Amino acid sequence: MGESLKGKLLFELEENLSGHQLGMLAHAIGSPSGEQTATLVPYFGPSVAGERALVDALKIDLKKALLGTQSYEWGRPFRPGEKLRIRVYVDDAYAKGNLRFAVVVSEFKDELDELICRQRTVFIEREG
Amino acid sequence: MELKPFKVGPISRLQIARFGCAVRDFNPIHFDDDFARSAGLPSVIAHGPLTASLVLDGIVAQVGAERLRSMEARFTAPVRPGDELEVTPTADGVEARNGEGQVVLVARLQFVS
Repeated sequence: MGESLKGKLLFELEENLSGHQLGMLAHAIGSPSGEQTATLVPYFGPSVAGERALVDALKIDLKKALLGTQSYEWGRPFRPGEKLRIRVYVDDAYAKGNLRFAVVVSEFKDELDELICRQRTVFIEREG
Repeated sequence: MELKPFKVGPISRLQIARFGCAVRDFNPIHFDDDFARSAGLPSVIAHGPLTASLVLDGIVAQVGAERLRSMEARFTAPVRPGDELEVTPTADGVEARNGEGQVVLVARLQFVS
């Protein structure tokens, strides 16, 4: 997870958000409000192409990696059946002491190019 | 926005597995105890975004999904299977503590006015 990752486009894809996927997340949340909450967080942006693709792209050592922060900014909740344009990129990458940081931004837009959700994820990797 | 305190969990291994499937995150640190121990953890841990989603769910239950503008969640300690979290309001969001009183998540929130 080096500083050369800064600015790297990790994934760019289009996808239909199915009601099934929202249902899976609501089931994981497992509460009466889970269906509503699922419309805010149906994805963990960096793993939208699967965590293996992310590990390969960032060259993360999972035994040394931590998740520092996860931020969400919403334009509106997600809607079942809508087509999404998804873009995931490394906004920043730096080292501080014996820690390396990668800031990954995941943007989810609708067919009109309106922002539905922007996620900002800070990964931390220990050296050694 | 005035929020009331609430509880999350206990978080189960099944819930962690369901979340991993839903968001396509099969990092073994969430599923494989041996792998988690080799990373210096006592057992598997919950996905950070799962913890954030469960805390968010307690907020959505109070105000509705349409009212949320942003959430910034900082993970300060691992959340393990069996953990039950106490979530209390702060000046600009909420914080979640485990059964030992350790803060595991601090979140800043913004609402649609």
